[in-house]
Amino acid sequence: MDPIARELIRYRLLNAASQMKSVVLHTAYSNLWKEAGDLSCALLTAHGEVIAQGGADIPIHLGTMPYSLRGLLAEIPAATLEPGDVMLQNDPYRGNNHLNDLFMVRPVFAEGRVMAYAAVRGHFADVGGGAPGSYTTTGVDLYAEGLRIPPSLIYRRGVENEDLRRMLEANLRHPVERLGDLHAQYAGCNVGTQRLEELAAEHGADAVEEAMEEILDASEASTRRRIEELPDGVWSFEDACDGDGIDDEPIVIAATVEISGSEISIDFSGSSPQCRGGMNMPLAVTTSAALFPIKCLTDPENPANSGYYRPITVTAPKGCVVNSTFPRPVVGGNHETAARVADAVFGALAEVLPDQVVAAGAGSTGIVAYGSSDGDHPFLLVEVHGAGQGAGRGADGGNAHRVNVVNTANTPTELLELSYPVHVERYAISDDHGGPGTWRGGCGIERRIRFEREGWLTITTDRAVRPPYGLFGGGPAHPTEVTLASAGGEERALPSKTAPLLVEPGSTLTISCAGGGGYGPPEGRALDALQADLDDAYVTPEAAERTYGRRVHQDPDRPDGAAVVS
Amino acid sequence: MDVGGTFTDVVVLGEDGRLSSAKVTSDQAHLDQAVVAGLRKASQERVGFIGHGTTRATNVTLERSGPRVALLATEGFSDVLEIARLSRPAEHLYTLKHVMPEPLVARRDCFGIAERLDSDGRELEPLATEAVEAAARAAAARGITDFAVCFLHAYRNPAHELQAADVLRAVLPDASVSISSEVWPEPREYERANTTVLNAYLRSSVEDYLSRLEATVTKANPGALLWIMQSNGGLTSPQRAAASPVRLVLSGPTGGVIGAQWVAERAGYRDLITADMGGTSFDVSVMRDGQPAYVDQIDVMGLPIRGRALDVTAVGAGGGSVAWVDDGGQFRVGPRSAGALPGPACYGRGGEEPTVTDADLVLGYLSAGAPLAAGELTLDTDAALLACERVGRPLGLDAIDAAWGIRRIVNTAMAGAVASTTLRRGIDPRSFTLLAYGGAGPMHAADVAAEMGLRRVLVPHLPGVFSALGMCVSDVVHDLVETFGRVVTDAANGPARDRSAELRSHAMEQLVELGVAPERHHFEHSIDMCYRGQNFTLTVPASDGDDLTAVRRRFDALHEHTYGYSNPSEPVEAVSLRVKAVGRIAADGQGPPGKPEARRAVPAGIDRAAFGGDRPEMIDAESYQRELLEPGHWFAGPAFVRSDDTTLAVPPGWTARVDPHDNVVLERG
Repeated sequence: MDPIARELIRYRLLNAASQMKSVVLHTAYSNLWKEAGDLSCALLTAHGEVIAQGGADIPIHLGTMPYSLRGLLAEIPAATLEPGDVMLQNDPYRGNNHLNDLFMVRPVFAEGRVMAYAAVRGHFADVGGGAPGSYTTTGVDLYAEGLRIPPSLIYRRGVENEDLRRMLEANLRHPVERLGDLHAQYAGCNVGTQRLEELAAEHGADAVEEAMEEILDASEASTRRRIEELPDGVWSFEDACDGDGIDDEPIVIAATVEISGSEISIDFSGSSPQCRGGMNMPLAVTTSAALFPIKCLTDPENPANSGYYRPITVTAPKGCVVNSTFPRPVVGGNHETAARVADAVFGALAEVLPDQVVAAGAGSTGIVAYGSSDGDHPFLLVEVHGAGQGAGRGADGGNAHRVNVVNTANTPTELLELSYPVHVERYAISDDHGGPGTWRGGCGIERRIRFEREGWLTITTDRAVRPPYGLFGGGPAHPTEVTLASAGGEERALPSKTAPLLVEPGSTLTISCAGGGGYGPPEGRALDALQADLDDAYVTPEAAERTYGRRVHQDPDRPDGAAVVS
Repeated sequence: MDVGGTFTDVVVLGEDGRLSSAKVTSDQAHLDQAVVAGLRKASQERVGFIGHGTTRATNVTLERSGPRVALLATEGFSDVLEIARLSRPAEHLYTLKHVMPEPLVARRDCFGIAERLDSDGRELEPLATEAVEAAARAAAARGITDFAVCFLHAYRNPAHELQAADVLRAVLPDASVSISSEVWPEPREYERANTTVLNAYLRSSVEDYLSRLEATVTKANPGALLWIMQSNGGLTSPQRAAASPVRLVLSGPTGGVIGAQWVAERAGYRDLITADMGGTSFDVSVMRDGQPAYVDQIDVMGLPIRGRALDVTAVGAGGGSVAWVDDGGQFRVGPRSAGALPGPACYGRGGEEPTVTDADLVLGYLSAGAPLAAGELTLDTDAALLACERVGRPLGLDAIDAAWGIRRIVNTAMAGAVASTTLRRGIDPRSFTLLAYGGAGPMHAADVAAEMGLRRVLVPHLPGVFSALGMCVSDVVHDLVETFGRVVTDAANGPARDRSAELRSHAMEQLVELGVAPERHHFEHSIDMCYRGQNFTLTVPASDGDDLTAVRRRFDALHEHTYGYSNPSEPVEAVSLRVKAVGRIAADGQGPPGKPEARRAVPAGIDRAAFGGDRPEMIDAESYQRELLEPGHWFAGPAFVRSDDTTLAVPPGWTARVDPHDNVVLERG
């Protein structure tokens, strides 16, 4: 079709997706959405391919969109849909990420047929199950992880399905906040639908559909061209998660990446078998995680759509941890194991793209869930802590920012203290947590929280056993550490994943997440860069001597810091 | 006066309501000289009131050319600037290196100070004054004299920050200290700290600039009062502006919005979308029922700045936006701009890529012979044609078709910016009037309006220097805020009333200090409220003396209106109290104008230009000279109105008339 008309339509599709996001953010109730933005919006074609997504979305949410839609349509056939219908599901074994992510979709009708779908996926701060926050990997199966919503119509011809709403209200903790978020999700689907209906009214449904296909084809062509520039070959890499909170066995992720002409296939044979705890990934989530590194390395600048992903195939043997089967639990797979999947693919491609790739970043979301359903003032806090990027050629890893397949923001300390019974004692960048290297890995963060009320605490993080790797001689990052001190001051180290723990008022949690790995041998680090690290205390004098092999002497008169490296 | 990076625009509003204008080149080293020269060029009369908008604060921020600053923060939280909100920006979702903006203060210059308040503002740990002294000495040894202080929960209780400022000044009498409880006392420590740090960062250069400017201007115009435009669309004194330079970051673009409000009020339009299209950006704002929209946070290069500001959305679409074909064969325009150098191909300054300006030239919208940019440029049509032809070739488009595509794509991008801005506020824009200004605005306005379904476009007199007009018709505006943080109950009524009254008397003192007579004072109270558990607030207007429960009922209604639902049985929190203090100093302008007789205007000539829908068609269009058009004149499109610095395009199907206030009004169908 006319390239100009196509570009006009492309622009308006992107605009519609970002409008969906802004509507959801402004109408939501939970901190997790409003402050942290743990949700994603997308428009999909009638064939179920993503054509546009919202800004600053969560990558792991996006790659699964087509699978989640397919899961819905398998049981609610498109032919039975009517204008005003809105579908809902959260089943990881029907193409969804984990139970916490509720996937809502509204079909967009034009000229009497379904022309597209407007979808909003949002992480619900609670979906019932074992403990406040629904966030322990120690649930014994999917049933223990919370309420499972099979493909359902939450609205039929514009009328709310009250029974389903009441079912949700009865099963999710803090129902007012949950239903507020559900309502926001609905508002987002509606605005996307409206924008697409306007587009169809103006250009005709045929033209919009044709444009969508051509936009996907163009994206595919662009990706193929970039893949063709890479050498053909097969590369492998292995990384691992700490265990699943039930078993201490490391969970191995083995990636084999084959580049052939304009196509890439990624296979995970050799990975661990599916585990008992919630670190499993259905194949849709694995695919989403494995696509992320390819996008970063071949085309970081363009907004993602399914066209970019057509030349890439992802496979894994049935029954392994990255292609698990019902009813294995999955809650942490979505970002902990998923991050390792991405890390393994990055690692495999390091040799092919040494200038583009970076060493492993924090590799964990570092979830702390703390809450109580008791009494007049039930509360629920869900916070993220994983941050810090791996280093690459010519660039130190960024300190203290979200990396990899996740991008949820923090909640400010002042709002935490205003909203929850907590006192934050420290929230800081951790010195020496970046892996040493010619280019240094990014430092992670540490938070110390004192709990003021009795409540249930759950930790879901990783990288405490196997730290984020360095590349080309760069060292690994400092691993994750979690400690809980009782009110009396008695400290104990916690593993990276816990069952719900009852904490008494006055107990203090310290969570220090891993940083990113280094790149290139530490001895290669420029003297002035290392001196700046000392002045800014990203690196301590001891580490400068021990890991960088430099000598440090003291000059008390030096304004920027007494420690001088030579 | 609007002092921009390239030009200084001056508009003089006479006591008789007549406007005159001048455009002079901004000499970056001697901006004050440009101002005086511009004033002299625009008017020979004695000037009593000078409204001034400056890009000084914006440029220092963008160029990172400010001094080294030290931050004092609560011990254990001194990494607040670098931790920020952890998440990466939307455009860097798939970027692996150099993702975050560099914080304004290096980690070594962030000092953790032992002290602590709780969320009610109660002291948990006293301020360690010796730590403040040590920080002051360490910073001084590094040559630092600008300090920012941001302690946790200082929005509730400024005592520790005030005490720290005293200690800093005692150790370093020349220190310039910005404290967060004065700069913007609201919760969210990262945003507040960043705002405070930016204030400290801008202080010395803005102070230096404003004092030099004031001296030069008053020397040349004895008795004249200089007023400075702030991001909130109001003026303040140079002294206050210098103390709160972070309030000036949007000083430039706000002038146009206030000018639009002034023009619209006189011409009788209540619902407006303002659109300022220049070389690199397209700035949009919305005005409903005569009132502009505000936001409480703006982002500059990824850094959040808290504080009341006019809600102006900028997208990277302007005359300099470059057209290109991506590696998937898709035709794209922007977001990259050719800027002023090398600039569009037709500028003949070495640019070879086609820009929107080149397309406008190829299509006949810009006239080839016309001088541009105050006579500094003559346009090269052949270069523009060649550039358009080159970009169109792989797509199978000739130069005209490619140029037409560029125009349509950039119009859609601009319409998209309008759509997001209105949607965010739940507004259906179709009954709104588009008020267009800026160098390129009038050339695209009718097409952008049509794309949005708008039927009317208003182009004010002097659209090319319109922002400067806004600056001479503004009032003094100070926005004050105080965190209250109590659930709405009868018991909270008394404290709310007392605190509001305090805030108001503080605001009144400020106006008096600026020499605004009490009969010209005006105060607007409002309260930020949310349902308990929500964090995003709505600002609810409150009359003086209203009790909280009455305001709360208004909050329910506003929530219902804005988000489609409300919860009258849920507890509501009154988060912050606000007072907007207005000192009415603007010129009143002339009385109602006469009703001119409608008559057809006589064209000065015929231009050939492209109009159409999917495909362009070169047709004859009448060409009018702006200075020959008078109130009452009308004509129909296709037509152009040409003046020294702007071209107004009137497509077929639109009619144009000059209203009694000398605005050109376009109407469709």
